[in-house]
Amino acid sequence: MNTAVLKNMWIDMVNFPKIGIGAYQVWYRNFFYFKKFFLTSILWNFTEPLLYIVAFGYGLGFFVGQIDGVPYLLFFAPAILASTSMQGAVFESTYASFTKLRIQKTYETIMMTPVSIEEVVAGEIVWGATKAFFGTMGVMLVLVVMGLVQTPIAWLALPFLILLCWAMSAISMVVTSFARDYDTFTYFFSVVITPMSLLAGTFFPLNHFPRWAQMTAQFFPLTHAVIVSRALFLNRWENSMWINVVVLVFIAVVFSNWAINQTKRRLIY
Amino acid sequence: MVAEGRSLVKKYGDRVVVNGIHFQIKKGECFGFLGPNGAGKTSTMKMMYCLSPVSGGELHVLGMDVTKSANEIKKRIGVVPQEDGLDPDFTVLENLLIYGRYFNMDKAEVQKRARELLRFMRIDEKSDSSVDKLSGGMKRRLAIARGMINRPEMLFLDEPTTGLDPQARLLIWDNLKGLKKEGLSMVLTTHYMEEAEQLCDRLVIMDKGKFLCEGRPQDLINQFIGHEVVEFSCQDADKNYVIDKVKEKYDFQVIRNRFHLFIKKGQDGKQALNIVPSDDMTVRKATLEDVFLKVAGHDLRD
Repeated sequence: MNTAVLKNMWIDMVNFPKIGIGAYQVWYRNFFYFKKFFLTSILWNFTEPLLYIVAFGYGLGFFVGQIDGVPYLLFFAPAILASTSMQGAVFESTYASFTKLRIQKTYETIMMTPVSIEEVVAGEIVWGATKAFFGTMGVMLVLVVMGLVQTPIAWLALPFLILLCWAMSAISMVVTSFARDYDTFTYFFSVVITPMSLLAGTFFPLNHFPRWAQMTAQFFPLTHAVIVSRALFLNRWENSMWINVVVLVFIAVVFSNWAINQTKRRLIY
Repeated sequence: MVAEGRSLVKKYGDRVVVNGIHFQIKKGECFGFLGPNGAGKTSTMKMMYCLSPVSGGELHVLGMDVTKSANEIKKRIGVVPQEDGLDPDFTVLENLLIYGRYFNMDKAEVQKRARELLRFMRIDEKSDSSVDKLSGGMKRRLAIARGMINRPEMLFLDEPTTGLDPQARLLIWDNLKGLKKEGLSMVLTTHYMEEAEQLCDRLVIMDKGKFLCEGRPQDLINQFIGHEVVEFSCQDADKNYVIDKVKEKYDFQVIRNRFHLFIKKGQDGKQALNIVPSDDMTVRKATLEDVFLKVAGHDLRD
């Protein structure tokens, strides 16, 4: 990485693009497609979290018993909910967006209309977040049925997790804007997403991790989301957690700018 | 006037692909950019439809500066890019409906307009097919219909019939002539000379980012070639002998081992038959293809 790249990166992160109604039309294009295949798209979002709940919640939970004073399943549920948000956003804004960007040339076609490239990418980011949120709502319903939503406050986790959907969708779009082929995403998953899933305090409390792992975890959006989601599910909200909310908003905004400006750099020359 | 370029330049890094061209396109005319691959045709078009930034000079479309009013221009033009860029996630009709939304068109209006265009382009029977199932010609027609969705004042067509079979090509020419009759201004690029002769009121032949010649197709043919061409083959050994015999009277060019004599108005092509004894002589009408080979050269390119 040379200095020009770093300088571009910095400029792209702080430069707020102009976004108008076009972003909504791009979002709608995706929603229109989603509607056609509603069930298959949504079911796919469900299966993995469900498997995790069964395997870890019941399987591992049987041996673990209680963590932090609650049954393991209750400890794990708000984390898997957050993890669903993350996974959904990452898949939509890497593979699906890359296909539209590089393979189908959907973006270039839209750029021939009054919709700007900034609006295209903004619409894509919001769509990735939206689709992830649909999946999150589905898993929430499952958690309700399983009796894991034990306080009305837990429902606040849903609006809060919109932030995580947005942040992860934006981060993924940044990766997509640099990606050369689908292999790039394999690296992204094994270097960023999988470690994040494991180290964000999802399966185990963070405070049992070695110090370096705890420090690293602070850079993961999922860590902040899990803290808040769990606090809401267990009715243990503290005002200091606003900092976690702010961190997520900050990441979402900065990475959205970066994704939008970098994609523009790549498509308009 | 619907478009005007002055000293227009396009560079990618240090590579200059459009090198200071001037042109004016009049309202209601079909203007063609001809040239071999890599001549700068597509780059010029992309600057006109505001996809690619201008590197130097001035460019106005519909009276507006492309560097300042891209958004306003895009609302009033239609574009049919080289790769159709159809959305494979949607059916034929849905492709038009979705595209209309990008212009913030009213839902009912876009429905009506889409059906009308599908009929006009003769693909209404395929309205509900997936785009993947269309033939190349149908995809192209759909792309043209899509470019017309917003009732543009000007239509840009980048190689509208490249890669299509002759029937599909004829159908598209019919469609485009129909649009022209309605007074639509059109700009197209092509490397099919016949297409240019059929459709273009005026054209430029460009190579290496510059214009080689400019005018009405028939005027260019008259000016550079004449009204007929006499073609014959000749052995290498005889070449100089034949050249000596014809050079006094005729303009000519030799492509590989084949002579092309240009017969001007007032000259008689049949006379040439007497000068050069050859068994496989043909006399034919001069075409734009002859102009192209004369001004752009006939060396092979990729």
